[in-house]
Amino acid sequence: MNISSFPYLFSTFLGILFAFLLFIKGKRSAASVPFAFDWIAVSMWWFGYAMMYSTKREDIALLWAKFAYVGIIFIPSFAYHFVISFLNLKDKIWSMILTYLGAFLSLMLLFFTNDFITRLHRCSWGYHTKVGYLHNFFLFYFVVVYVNLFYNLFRCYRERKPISSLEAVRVKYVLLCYLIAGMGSTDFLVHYGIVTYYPIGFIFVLIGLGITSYAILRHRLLDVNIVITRAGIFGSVYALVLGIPFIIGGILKSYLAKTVSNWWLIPVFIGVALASLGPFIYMRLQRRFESRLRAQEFKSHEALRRLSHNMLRVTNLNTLLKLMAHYLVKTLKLRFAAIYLLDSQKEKYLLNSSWQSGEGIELPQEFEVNNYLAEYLHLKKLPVVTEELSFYAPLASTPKIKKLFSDLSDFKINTVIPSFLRSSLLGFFILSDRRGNISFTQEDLNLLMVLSNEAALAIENAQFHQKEVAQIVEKSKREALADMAPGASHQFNNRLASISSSVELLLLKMENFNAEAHQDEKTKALLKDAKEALELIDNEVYKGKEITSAILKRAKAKVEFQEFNLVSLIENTYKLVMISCSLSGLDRARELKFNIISPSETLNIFASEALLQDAFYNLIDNAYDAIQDRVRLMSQDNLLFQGEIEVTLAQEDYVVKAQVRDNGIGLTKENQRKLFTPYFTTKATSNKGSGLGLCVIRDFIEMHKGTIACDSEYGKGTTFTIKLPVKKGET
Amino acid sequence: MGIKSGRKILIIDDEEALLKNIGDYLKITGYDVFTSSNSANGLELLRNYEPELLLLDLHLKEGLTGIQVLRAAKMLKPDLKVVISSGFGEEEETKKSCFALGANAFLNKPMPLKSLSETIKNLLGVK
Repeated sequence: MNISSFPYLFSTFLGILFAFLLFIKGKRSAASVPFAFDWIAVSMWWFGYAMMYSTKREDIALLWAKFAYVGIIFIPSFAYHFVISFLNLKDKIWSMILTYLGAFLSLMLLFFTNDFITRLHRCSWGYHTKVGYLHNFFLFYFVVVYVNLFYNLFRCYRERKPISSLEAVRVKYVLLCYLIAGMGSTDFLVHYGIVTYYPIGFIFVLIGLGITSYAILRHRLLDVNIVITRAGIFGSVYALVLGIPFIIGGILKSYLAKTVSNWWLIPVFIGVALASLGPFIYMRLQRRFESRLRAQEFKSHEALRRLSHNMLRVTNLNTLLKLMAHYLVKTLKLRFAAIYLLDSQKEKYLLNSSWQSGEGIELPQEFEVNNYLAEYLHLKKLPVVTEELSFYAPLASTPKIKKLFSDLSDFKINTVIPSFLRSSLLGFFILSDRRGNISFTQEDLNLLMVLSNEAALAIENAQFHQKEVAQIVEKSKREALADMAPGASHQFNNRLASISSSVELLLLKMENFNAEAHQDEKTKALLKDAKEALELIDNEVYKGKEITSAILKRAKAKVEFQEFNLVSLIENTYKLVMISCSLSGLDRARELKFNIISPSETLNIFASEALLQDAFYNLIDNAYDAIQDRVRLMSQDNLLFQGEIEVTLAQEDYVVKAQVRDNGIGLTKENQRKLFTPYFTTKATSNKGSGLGLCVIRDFIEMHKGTIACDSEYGKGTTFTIKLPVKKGET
Repeated sequence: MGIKSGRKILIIDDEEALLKNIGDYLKITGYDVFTSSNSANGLELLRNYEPELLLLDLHLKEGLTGIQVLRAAKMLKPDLKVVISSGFGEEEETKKSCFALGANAFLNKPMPLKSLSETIKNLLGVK
C-alpha cells in the first residue's frame, strides 16, 4: 500500500458514509437520492485512484484507472439530477435524460476505445492517468453540464430571492458548494499532463459536497453559516491531522527507510494518533469559532434562556404573556410576536397577547380548534416554518398544507411555535420574520421549542394562580356573606315584621272604623289615601322579605355533590312549580305544554341536587311567568296561543347541556344584557321577583364549573342553556 | 267585627312593637290576649291564665330559647296549640324539630297578620 493513496482511501470512506446516510435519512427530500448517487460516483473515482496509486503493475493500474473513470463520468449527470430535483424544475427532465445519455456515450468511449485513456504515466506518487484526444469530448460534455447546472442555480437564485429569502439562501448555498466542488476539475490538468502535481481536487469535492450533505441531513439546508463554519473547521483540522504524517512520510522517507525496516508504520501511527485526537481538537475549535462568529446569537439565546427560567415567577397571566411577546420581539429582532391560547369553552385559540415593533399588522383574533394550523401543529409537534412549507406545498397531497401556507404568508407569519402541555396543544406563538433577512436557525427553533414548552408550564401556573386568587376572593366574599346574612336578615325581618304588623293593625282598625258615619268628604278621601299608602307599605315589606330570604339562600348554599338522575329532577321540579303556581292562585286557564327531550330516561350527573333543583325551579318558574305575561300582554292578536315549556337534555363527551326553552314574552336586548346582574327583575306585576333569582342561579351553576347563557327575542320566547360537567368536579 | 270568642291566646316575642301590634290585632279580632316579651314571664302567664294557643318567637334574646320554651309549655299544657314565628328564614331542620316537639304551625317573619289570624282561627276551630 502506497502512502499517497491514503487521502483517497480516507475520502472514499467518507463518501460511502455520506451516501449511506443520505439513503437512510434523506427520505424527506427527493433530491437526496441523486445526491447519494453522486457520492457513490465520487467514491468510485477516489477508490479507483487509491488503488491505482498503490499498484506496481501498469496493466492492473490501467484497470483501476478505468474503474475510477466510470465514477468520474457519472459525477456531472448525478449532480445535474440533484440540482434539477432540488430546484424542483420539472421542465428540465429532458435535459437531465440527455446528460445521462452523454454519460453512457462517454462510458462507451472509455471501454471500447484506447483514445480515451491512452496510457498511464509514472509520477512520484504512483501511476497516473494519461488521457487521449477522445477525452476532449468528455471534457466538453463535462463543461456543458456544469455550466448548465450553475446557470440553473443562478437563475433560480435571482428569481426566488424576492419571493423567499430563505429559499434564495438555500440556492445560493448549494451554488457555493458546487463552485467549491467544481474546483476539483483542476485535476484534469494533471490528467492531460499539462502540469504534474499530486492531484488535490478531491479536497474541494469533499468540502463542497460534504457541506451540502451535512446541511441536507442535519439542517434541512437551513443553516448556511453554521454548516460552512463547521465544515471549514472540520476540513482544516483533518487536513492538518492527515497532512502531518503525509509530510513526515514525504520528507523523512529516505532517512526513515534507512533506520526502520517498515518505515511507513511511523507516519501511519502518527496519523492514527492524530486522527483520534481530531474530534477533540475539532470540538474545541468549533466552540471557540462559533462563539465568536455568533456572539450576537448567543446573546439572544442567553436572553431567551433567562426568560424561560424567570417565566415561572410571573404569576399574573397578562403580565406574563405581554412579557413573553415583548421579549421575543426584542431579542430575536422580530416585527411582531403574538401568543394564542386555547379557550376550551369557546373551543378556539384566542389572541391573548401580541407585541409589534414598527408598523401595525392586523393579526387574526382567533383560530378554530380544528383549524389547519392547530391540526398541523398537533400532528407534527414541531415548529411550522412558513418558508419550509413552501417546499412541501407543491409536493403536498393535501390541499390543507397549501391553504395553510397561503394563510400564513398572508399574515406575514414566518414561524409558528407550538406550546404543548402534557401532549395537549395549550396554544402557540406566532413570530414574524426577523429584521435584516436573517432566518431562524435550527438552534433558534430548538430553543424556541424549549421556551414554548416552558411557557406552557408558566402559563398554566399563572392561570392556576389567577384562578386560585379569584377563588379565595370569591370564597371570602361568600364566607363573609354566610357569616353576616343570618344575623342581618333576622334583624331586618324583625324590623319588617314590626312595620307590617303596625300597618296591618292600622288597616284592620280602619276597616272597623265606620267611615260612613262621618259625612265629611275630606276625611273620607284622606282615609282612602291613607289606606292605599298603608297597603303599598305592606306590599313593600313583603318584597323586602323576599330579598332577605334570597340572600339567606345564597349564603347558605352548600355544595354537596352526589350522583343523581337529571331527568327525574327536572320532572319533579316542573311539578313543584305547577303546584306553587296553583297555590298562589295564578291563572292556569290556558293549559301549558311541558316537554322533556332527553337521549334516555336516565341521565346521571354528579352535582348538587339541591342547587340544581333551585336553579331549574327558577328557570321553569320564569318560563311560566313569561308565558303568563305573553298571554296577558299579547294574546289579543292570537287567541290560539299555546304556552310551551321544553327542556332539552343532551350529553356531549363530558358535558351535559340542558336547554330550558319557553315561548313566553321574551326579553328585549337591553334586558338580556342586564339579566345576570343582582336585583334586576322584569316582573313588574307581582311581588314575586326579588331580582336575585338569575344571579343566584349563575352562582349555583358556576359552583359546578358550568356555564349558563341566555338567548331570547322579545315576543318570541327565551332559551336558557346550561352546560355542566358530568364528572366529579375538583371542588 | 270582633266577635268576642273569649279564647285565650298567649304571645311571647321580644320585639315589643311587634308584640303590641299582634296583640292589638288579635284583640280586635276577638281573642283574649296575653303578651310577654320574655320567657320567664311568658311561662308564668301560661300557668296562670291557661291560654289555648301560644304564639312563640323562636329566637328570644334573653332567658330560655324558643325551643326550650316550647318544650316547657308543652309539658305544662300538653294540649296547647303552638304557632312558631321566626325571623331566620326557612330552616328545614329547625322547622322539623319544632313540629316534633308539638308545634302546630311555623311562620316566617314578617307574616301577614291576616294569614296569622287565619291560621289561629283554623287551629282553634273558630267558626
